[in-house]
Amino acid sequence: MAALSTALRRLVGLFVDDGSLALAIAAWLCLVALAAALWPAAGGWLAPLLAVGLLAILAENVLRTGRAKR
Amino acid sequence: MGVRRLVAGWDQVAVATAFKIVMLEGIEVVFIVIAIGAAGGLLLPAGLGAGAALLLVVALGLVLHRPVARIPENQLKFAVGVLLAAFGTFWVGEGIGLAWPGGDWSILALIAGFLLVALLLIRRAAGPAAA
Repeated sequence: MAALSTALRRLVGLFVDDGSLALAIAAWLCLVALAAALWPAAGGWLAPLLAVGLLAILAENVLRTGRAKR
Repeated sequence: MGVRRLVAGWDQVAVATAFKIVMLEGIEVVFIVIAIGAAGGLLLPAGLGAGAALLLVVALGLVLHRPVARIPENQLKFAVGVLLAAFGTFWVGEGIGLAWPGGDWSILALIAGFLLVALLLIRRAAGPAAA
């Protein structure tokens, strides 16, 4: 059982390196998808907004990780 | 006994690392092939395309492994990371149903954006000592 849980943890670790980063990205994607569904007319600027949001999440995560390591 | 000698003769870290990476990419390929194939009986063409790409990648690996091995590992990881982030953003946007300005050309803008932000973050994370 311990070997199985270790194997599962390793498998998940291949896809998710930082849980907080993964959660933030997933939440942002859900928000943008919801916005796209509720406001179809907004279509043209939602894609760039998606990119800007992901960049902001990446920047916050890197800066926070850098501060924590100092 | 024979298997143990075979593994013991090789760098186990290299074997484990390569196994994990290839398995990860392989799972992605399977998901993509299934996703494309599920759209109206296209499983065979999607599978053939993936198989052809596999053969091409193996051939490229055999031809290019020496020059690629000379590229510093961190720079290689950085470049691949920027490309994956840009392509991933583009595809997830399309998957949600968003329209990217300029269509496929927006991938170039995404690559530039991720590259610029990553370089700025490297400079910031390195601190004033590295400036």
